[in-house]
Order: sequence, then C-alpha cells, then structure tokens
Amino acid sequence: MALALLSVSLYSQSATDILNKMDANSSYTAIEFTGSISTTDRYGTSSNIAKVTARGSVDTLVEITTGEQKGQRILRTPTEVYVYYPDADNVIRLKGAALRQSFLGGDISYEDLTSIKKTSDIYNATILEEGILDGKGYWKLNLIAKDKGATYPEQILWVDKASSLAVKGEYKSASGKLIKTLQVNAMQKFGNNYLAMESEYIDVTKKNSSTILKINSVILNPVITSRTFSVSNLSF
Amino acid sequence: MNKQWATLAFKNIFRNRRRSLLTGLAVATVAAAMMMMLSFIAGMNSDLEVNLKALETSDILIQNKDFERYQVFNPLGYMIDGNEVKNILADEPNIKIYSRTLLRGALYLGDESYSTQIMAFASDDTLIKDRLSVDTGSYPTLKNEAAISRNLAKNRGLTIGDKIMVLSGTVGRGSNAVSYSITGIINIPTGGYNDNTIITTLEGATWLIKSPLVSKVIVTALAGQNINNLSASFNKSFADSEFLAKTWLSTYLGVAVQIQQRFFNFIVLLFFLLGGTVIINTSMMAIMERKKEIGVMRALGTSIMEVRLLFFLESITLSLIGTLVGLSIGTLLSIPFTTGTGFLSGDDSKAILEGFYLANGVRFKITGASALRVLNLSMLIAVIVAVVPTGRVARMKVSDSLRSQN
Repeated sequence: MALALLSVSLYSQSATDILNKMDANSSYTAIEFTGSISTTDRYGTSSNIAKVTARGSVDTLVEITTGEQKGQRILRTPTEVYVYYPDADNVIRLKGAALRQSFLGGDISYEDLTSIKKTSDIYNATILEEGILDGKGYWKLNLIAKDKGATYPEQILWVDKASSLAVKGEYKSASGKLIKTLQVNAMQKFGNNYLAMESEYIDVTKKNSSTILKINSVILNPVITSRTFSVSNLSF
Repeated sequence: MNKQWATLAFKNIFRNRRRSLLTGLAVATVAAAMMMMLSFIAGMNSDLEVNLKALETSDILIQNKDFERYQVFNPLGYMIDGNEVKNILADEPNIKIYSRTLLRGALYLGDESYSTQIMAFASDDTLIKDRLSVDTGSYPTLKNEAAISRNLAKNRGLTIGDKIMVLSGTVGRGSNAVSYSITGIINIPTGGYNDNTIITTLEGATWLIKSPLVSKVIVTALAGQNINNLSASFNKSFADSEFLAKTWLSTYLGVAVQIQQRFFNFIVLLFFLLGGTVIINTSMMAIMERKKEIGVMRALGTSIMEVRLLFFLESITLSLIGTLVGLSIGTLLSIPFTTGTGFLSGDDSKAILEGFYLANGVRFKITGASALRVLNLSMLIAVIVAVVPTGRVARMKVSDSLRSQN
C-alpha cells in the first residue's frame, strides 16, 4: 500500500486523472462511423460491416449493414441494452449473463461494446510505470475492479499520453489469469478526440481467436433525431 | 423305484399342508415380485433403447467426425450437409435416412428468457413422429411455425396461435432471433425433452441458424442388416469427407444407455439374491423341521441318496407349483402397467426419470425370457436346497437325528 502511494506521488498526474481523460476522450457530442468487424477463430474468418452512431458517452446505436448478421441492431441507452433481429417480432433486452455473450461470435461481448459506466466508476487504478512505446509516451495502469461483478476484475492498460487512448490492454480474471488482450494498431484525431481506427482483440483462452475492428469512415456531429436512440426506432 | 419315491414325495407334500403351503407361498411371493421387477426393468430397458433410437441415433448415427469431441464448445461449428450424406448413400439398399437438427437456444417471452432446445426434423420423419404424440394442433409445416412440448406449454402458459421468439447462435458464429407461431402441443416420451423443447421444420432451423446444415443424419436399417457391417460400409464411402458413421451402441449416448441397462441388470441380480435367500431360508427351515423324520427313514434302511431324492422331488414339485402360481400373479399384476403412462408417471418420479431416456412413466414389458429367468432361479434354488441341507441332515448319525426335537 505504502509502495503504491509512493509510486503515485512520483508521477506527474494521478491514475484517476488518466482514467478521466480516457473517458473524456471516448465521449463525443455526436459521432457516426462505419467499420468492419472481422472475427477469426479455428473455424475460419467472418466479416460484418457496422454503422455506429453515438452521442455523449452513453447513447450508442450499432447497425450491422452487411454480412451474415445484416439487419441486426444494438441500442445502448442510459439504463439498458437492446438487440433487434430482423426476423424476430420483438426487441430483446439484454440482461445478466446475456450481456457477456459474444458479439458477432468474436472476442468482444455486448458488455464490452456497450459498457456504460465510466472506467473510473468501475475500477481503482494505480500507475505501474511511465515509459515509451513505439516512440510514444505512455502510462501503464493497473486497474482493479471495485465490485466482484465486473467482467474483467483486473486490467493492465497502456494509455497513450498524447491521445489518452488505451493503445494496449490485458484483461484478467479475478485469479489474475489473462483472458483477453487489446492492441490498437492505428488511431486518428477527430475534433478534440482520438479514435482507434484499427483495434485487435485476442481471446487468449481460445486457440487462434481474434477480432479486428477497423473504422473506415467517420462523421463528426451528424444529424441525430430524437428517435435515433429510441427502442421503437430499432424495429423501424 | 423312482415312481415310488415320486408318489411318496407327493403324499408328503399333502401330509403337512401347513408347511407345504408356507414354502409354496414363499416361492410364489418371490416369483411374483421377481416377475414384476423383471417386467419393470425390461420396460425401462426397452423404453431407453426405443427412445434413444427414435430421438437421437436410430441404428446408425452420422455426424461430423469432430462433433462429439467439440460439441460442448461449438456444436454449430460441426454441422453437416444432410443432402451430401444422402447423395453419398443414395445407392445403399434397404435403409431409410433422416436429417435432424438439435441445438440450444433461449426462449423469450416478454422480458424473460428461458433455456430451451430446438429440435428440427422433416415432415416425413416417421421414425420420430411414431414416438411422439400430438396433444392438440399439428406439427409445423412452414419455416415460421413451431410446435412446443407439453410441459413447456403448460409451464409457460403457451397455446396454439401464440407467437414465441427464440434466440440461438448461428453457424457463422453470430446470433439470431426469429419468431415462430405455435401450431401444436406435442408430448415427447422423455421427461427432459418434454420440459423445454421447441419443434420446428428443418427450414425453420435453417432460418434460425442461417444455414441449411443439420446436426446429424440418422439411418434405419430396414432389412435386419448387421449394423456394424453397414456402419463400416458407410465409413468407406465417407473416406474423403468430414462424415463419420457410428452404430447407435458406439455413440456416447448408446454407451450411456448400456451402462444404465447394466445398472438395471445389477439391480435385478440383487433382487435375485434377495429372493433366493428368502426361498432358501424357508426351504431350509422346512427340512430342519424334519430331522427326526429323516432319522427314522435312515433307521429303517433308507440310503442317503434315497433321502436326497425324496426331498429333491418334494422341493422341485413345491417350487414348480409356487413359481407357476407366482408367475401368473406377477404377470396379472404387471399387465395394467404395460399401457398408457405406465408406472412412476407422477411429477415426483419424472424428476428421477428425466435423466434417463425414459418415458414420463415406465411401461412394464412382460416377456417369456423374464418368466424363464424366474423359473430357472426357482428350480436352481430348489435343487440346491434339496441337495445341500438334506445331505447334511441325512449324513447325521441316526441316533442324533432321532434325538432331535423336530
């Protein structure tokens, strides 16, 4: 504990400040982007293209526009996550274990995709080190979940100092076993925020399993109507 | 000479009617209980096999060769092209081929979801339809129609015309949800299946998992062929494909059923020992009561062999009569349980039975083999009882036998 306090005091800013900057970077007044989600595992590779519309740090609408899952829509609101399937009569509200199901069969869960709370609300963070990665300064943070119910009880994040974007991550179980890794291969600045243009998630518990998210086009401050983030709009 | 001993044995039986009645009653009671027990076990074993073959494997099961190994992790990743299998086996005579799909899913009713299994088969799949029964309505015929199992309908308050939404994985490793209209309520003769099964057409399953692949193809041998040879022949034809044929006995379900059957047979063995002990005890008591009588016979010059023969004939006659009476009573008492829902059909029993491939209740199966087994046991015990304790008493000193209180 004393060592952790000492380590915090040695750095120019606190771990909480870094988390707050990370959260602020991921929050847009409004943004719309189109990207591909390619999932590779032992059975092959499948690809879907999705359009994502987001407002603030909460409201998010994901629409799968091509691929096997075409027509599927996922809506995140301040309180719920809903999924619409085109061949079903009703919208499904995800809750409990269903939130941890794989999104498009890849290494990202619906909870990963639509996590609502700020990182600093879920985790207590400490700075492990400050260094240079691929020529860029970073903070290496250790995040420990405040509650037992967190999807990843422990995370190690490498946060780029310039962009406040987590460019590398290790997600662990309560026992410290590595479950998933994240590697951001490309980023780009839009307005005041940086966006990961290509991210690769690897589920280390599965053999040859990875999911690559690539953003192809971005529109800042698109026109968003009052219906955009409504449940009724999902099945429209 | 032997005729004389037979006559004497017969007279002895009627000379002490109380003792003979008690011995015969003991044999009859055990024989009746054994007959009912064997009919019960035969019914369970028969139901196990018939249900397993109708619902899961038929005579030969054809799946992706890696299905059994990886189905826990990704059952949808190891589905097969049913039409390709049919094409490969097109020239095989005297077989009937059925494509089936069985997968896990979630049933959404309002805001609640329930774990369920989706079973899909073709409209001409008489193998399974002969085993199921339609409570109300009919089987689905369109891709957006489904029938549901009896207990699922009862527990969730569903009825014909209702719409249900089902969520499942897809072959492409995504997820999909579709809505089906309920066309029928079906009774499936296994507890587990009856609680949570949704029956769709093969097209309905294709719609849900976004692929025309099926979980398995099962084959019925129509002309009593040797299924081991047939399975080997299929695998020769499948040499360059992903398919693997197995006889129903070599599938993991078949092995599980055989273990269950052996367990049931072990229970039968225990009952045989228990029943045998009762008969032996009763018969030995009857012989021990007659030490003095044996002593008198020996004093009058009857040889040990002749004493043994007399008691052997008495024992055989009593056992035969007792067994035949017992078998008749056991058979009569078993008959009411051979039809309908049979025995153990209550809700409490269902919880025990659903782990097995059994009907909601167990139907007894009366067979000649069961009767023969009981008769054999009874005769064997009669012989043992006549030879061993009688011989021991007959070998006693005559003076000791005569001094005996009995």
